[in-house]
Parts: sequence; C-alpha cells; structure tokens
Amino acid sequence: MSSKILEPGEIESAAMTPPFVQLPPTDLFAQRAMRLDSLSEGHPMSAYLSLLASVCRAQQTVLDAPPNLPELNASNLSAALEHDMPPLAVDTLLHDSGWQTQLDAWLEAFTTQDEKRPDAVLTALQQLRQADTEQRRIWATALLGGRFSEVPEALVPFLGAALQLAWQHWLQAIDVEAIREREDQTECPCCGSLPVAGVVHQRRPIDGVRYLLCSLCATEWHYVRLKCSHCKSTRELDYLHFDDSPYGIKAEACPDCHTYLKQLYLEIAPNGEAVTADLASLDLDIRLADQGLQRRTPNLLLAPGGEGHAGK
Amino acid sequence: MDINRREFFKFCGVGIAASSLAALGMAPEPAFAESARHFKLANTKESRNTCPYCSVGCGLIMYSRGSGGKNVSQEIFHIEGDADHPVNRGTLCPKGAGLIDFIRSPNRLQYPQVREAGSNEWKRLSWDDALTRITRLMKDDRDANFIEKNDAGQTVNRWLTTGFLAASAASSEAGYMTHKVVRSLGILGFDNQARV
Repeated sequence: MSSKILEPGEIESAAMTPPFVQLPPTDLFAQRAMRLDSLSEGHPMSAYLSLLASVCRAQQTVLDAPPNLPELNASNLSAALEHDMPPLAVDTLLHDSGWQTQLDAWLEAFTTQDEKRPDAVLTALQQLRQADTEQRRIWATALLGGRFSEVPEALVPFLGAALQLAWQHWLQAIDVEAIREREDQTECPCCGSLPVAGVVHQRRPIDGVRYLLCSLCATEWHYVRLKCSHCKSTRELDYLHFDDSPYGIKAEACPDCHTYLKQLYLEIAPNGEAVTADLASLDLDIRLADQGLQRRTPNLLLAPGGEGHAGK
Repeated sequence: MDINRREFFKFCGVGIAASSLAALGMAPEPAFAESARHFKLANTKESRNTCPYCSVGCGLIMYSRGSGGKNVSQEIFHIEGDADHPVNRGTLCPKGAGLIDFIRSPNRLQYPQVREAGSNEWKRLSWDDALTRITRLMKDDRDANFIEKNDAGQTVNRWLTTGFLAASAASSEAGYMTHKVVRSLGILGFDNQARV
C-alpha cells in the first residue's frame, strides 16, 4: 500500500464528493465469468466455480439480447424515487411476470451452451423449468427474503442468477441522478436488498472509498468506511483475513452485533470482483462461523446450507 | 417481505453437506473445511484519526496489526487519507503522506528532558519532576511579571512574559479547555496552530 501525494491538476477531482450510487457495467456478468474461470484453477471448489462461470456467461447472453418484456411503469418508478423508496422493490416486482420470462430465457441460454453437465445439474434445471409460476414465485420470495432453507439447495444458484439478471435488466430504466443520497443506507437504494459485500475502490476519483454491492441488482452505493453495515456501530471494528489469501478479502467484524461483512480491497487485488472473490474465499466464512461470528449478507449464487436463524 | 424470518448466511464445515455445492455433487474435499480451521487468521485494525501537522486537520485512516489484547502491542503499519473526510477526501500533503515515518522516527520524544541554562546537554528527568518544575517556573514568572492594572488604573490581569503552544489537531473540546486554562492564568500569547 502506498500513500498518495497530489500531482498538479488533481485537486479538482480530489475535491469531488464521491457519487452516491454507481450502476454496474453492462458487461459485469462477462467479467464475473472470466474471474470465475481464472479463480477455479487449482481451487478446492473448482468444479462449482467453473459451473458458476457458465451460469454468468448465460446471464450475459440474456442481458445482451433480452427477451421481449413490457416496460416498467415510469410514473411508479419516479414516485418511488420521490419518496426515497427503492424503485425496483423486491416484494412488488416478484409479482411481475418479467423475471419469470428472464428465468426461462436464462434456462434456454444456459442449456444451449452445449457443455456436458452432471446429472444433478440437469435435474435441477429440469425442476426449475417444470415448476409453475406460483411455485417459482414462492422459491424466489424465500431466496430474496433470506430464507435459504426453504428453497431446494440445488436450485439456488440458477434461480439466483436469473433474479440477478432480471433486476439488472430493470436497472436500465432507473435514472441514477434521481436517487437522493441518504446517510447510513444499509439496503440497496434501487431494489432494497442486502449487500453481498463491500468494495474499497482503488482508482481515482473514488480511491479509498467504500461502496456496498447489492446482492441482487449489483448497484453499488456509498457507505462510510469503518462503520458496521448492519448495526452502524463505529467502535472497535476488526478486519479479519487469512495472511496469505490472494483474493483481497477482509471481513469487517463488529464486536457489538457479532456480524461481519466481507470486503474486497481493490488495492490488494486490482482485478478482483466482489461476488466472485466472496465465493472463492468461503474458507474465511468457515473460520469466522467457527469463531461465533454471523453473516447476514447473502450471495445468491450459493445456498450456504448452514442453519442459522437471524431473528430481527 | 417478512424480514423477521431472515436466516444468517452461514457457511460452515458441517453445513457444506446441505449446501448447493453438495446438492450439485460438487462438494470440496473434507480437508477444505478442516484446513480453514488451521490457517492463521490475521487481524488488522483500521481507525480514524486527524493529522497532527497543521490546522487544516486532514482525516486519516491508520492500519495496525495486533489483536488489541492485553499482552499484545499494536503496531501501525500504514496510514492513508480518509476518503470519507470532507476536508481532504482521502488526499494528504507530502508531510501527511510521510506520517508513518513520523511515528517510527528514532528521534521521537518519548520522555521529558531538560537543558539547563548555560548548558548544552539534554538531561532526562521524570514526568513528576518535569511537571513540578514547569509549574514552579510558571508560578515564579507569573508572580514576578503579572500586570493587574494598567497605567490608567483599570483592571487588566495580564501575564505577557509566558506563551503557550497547543496542538493543531486538537478537537473543539480540547481547544475550549486550552482556552479556559490559559486565559484564566492571564496569558495572551497562545496558539493552536503549528505554523506549517
């Protein structure tokens, strides 16, 4: 890590307030697929990471050439923004048929990739394909509501991927400028979901600034550093990591509420991406669970399997 | 959505059998979970502070190693500008950027020393002796030079022969206390700015 000294002409950009919200790049899924391909080499979870790389490639295929969907009601979107409510609120849009169309498109794109899949994967895809709209909605509601144990584990990465895809597509209808900055926002200002992880950026003009990355729509929003993203405490936070871990991940652990948030430091891993780095560093989660620390932030590409009721 | 029923995202050794990994036939070797228990878990603290150099008061983030336990000494290994701080937005001047060397400087003052009048040698003394000596000298000087009334007979209560230099990075509260202590003694010359 190096300290920075201003060069001429950089004062203007340094004086800028960091933007509150950053929308994901349009090729985010392709980037994730590439990251997963390289992370899977020699990784103990190699097979799963490779599978997810294909999952992300199919997400990108559908995002680039989306199925025909009715547009969202523009006046509803602006009304939500006006009242500081997330315009793509999960509980509302789960009743919209749009995401189910995206799920079908994703299943189609994934199946046509022409790769040999294990039987367990084929069975899971078949189960998703054959489920009726109501059953799918029940599963999706449980997954996005953080009730992982109510969704068949084998379906989660595929259902989660389709939901990410649908929301990221809808995100294109959002006017970022209209999102008002609010302090201490622990849920996504676009869809109201929990973050998957934090990202500490490394490039000007937002170097050293922490954003939370939405687990569903991949919006990043600014959240002050050195502050628990759950209980907002600023006292005695610990940053836990494995000494020789290459993923650039540290867990911000709060001694007040005993939860942690994984955080990607792009200064340590400049090519990193938070969702994929999170999956590659699950050994850290195992260790932190051992220490009695709890994680609230979901990764929709994995049903964790561990029991744990979060209460309120 | 019923938020009260949200579960923790708990990924643990025992739970892998019920995770997507196992359900899709892709569970890692049991050694994966086992080895995670034996890796050394490193602990970094990040804390906010204010740069001590000048009155601009740039925000800092200091990184230190060590758990903060009773028998573990913490060591600061990196300092950078605090990107959330409205004054400097993560930037630092060359002096601020070199703060880590300031902390580790072998020339840093760590205990009180005195150089007697006429001597060119610094002598170490205890905090108690130093404070007693400073108060004695201040009292003597104040008793000798305190101005209670000016030429016109008006009460002024001035003590002009001693000055006071406080910290440039002091908080408002510390500044308030400095002001109260110093002004109550009658000192007029005091400063909170280290004059870059």
